[in-house]
Amino acid sequence: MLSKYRLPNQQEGEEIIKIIRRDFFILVKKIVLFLLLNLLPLIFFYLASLNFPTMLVGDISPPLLILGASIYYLFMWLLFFFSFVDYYLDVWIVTNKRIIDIEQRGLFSRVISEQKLYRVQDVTSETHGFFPTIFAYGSVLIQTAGEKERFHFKQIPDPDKVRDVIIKLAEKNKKEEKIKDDV
Amino acid sequence: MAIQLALFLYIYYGFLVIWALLFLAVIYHMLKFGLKSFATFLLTFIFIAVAILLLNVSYIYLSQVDWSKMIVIWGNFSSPLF
Repeated sequence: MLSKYRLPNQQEGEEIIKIIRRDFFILVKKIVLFLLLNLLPLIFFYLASLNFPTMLVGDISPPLLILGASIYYLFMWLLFFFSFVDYYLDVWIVTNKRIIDIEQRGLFSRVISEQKLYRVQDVTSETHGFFPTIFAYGSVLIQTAGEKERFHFKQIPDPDKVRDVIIKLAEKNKKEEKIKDDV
Repeated sequence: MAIQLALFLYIYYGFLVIWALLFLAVIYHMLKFGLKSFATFLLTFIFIAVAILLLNVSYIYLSQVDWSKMIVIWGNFSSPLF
């Protein structure tokens, strides 16, 4: 289990500055979708009882409907849990020395990458769309020296503020590294 | 031809096994890769509690059914579907 107090490959004097997850609005969207999907069987039962009043009586159809409803709700709950875990396990950690990107891609795929702050060359924050503008969430893209692939903080709250924090930390880190090299 | 209603219950058990395996896999991910915090444990507990509640409600309804009944697939319909 990942601990705030014991990061992977933690360096001497390394402190966590920020732990970032996707914006809460992304989770709200998942919850709304889950609630809507939960209403579907109820709408189905309501319409069916209007059109086929005898469907919910008898010896055979009610047990089959109960089995179907049970499977549906159990799998809906599982999908919601899975979707939540996908949200919850995507974490970006900014320390005073490096950036750690932990991304859960589905249930059986996980990518962890890290980059030293003094290697950061360019930091871009992006906010596109109606909801991201209203709820102030967006992406931060970090370009590091000699790396083709950029770090991508997706759908995070306050991307502009996060960009500022990373730029300041990167500049401070570069100065410290230069002093070390000079010595 | 007639089949026993319990056949559907066995199919349901099959789905239940798949569901349980996937649910355990998600719990494993949550506890193995989640941030060590009270929120992680609380959220995992809530997900497990709701799952147990769903299983319990299903059991209450399904335990009242007489699964020995036969469904006529074709031929004389002695037990109508609706």
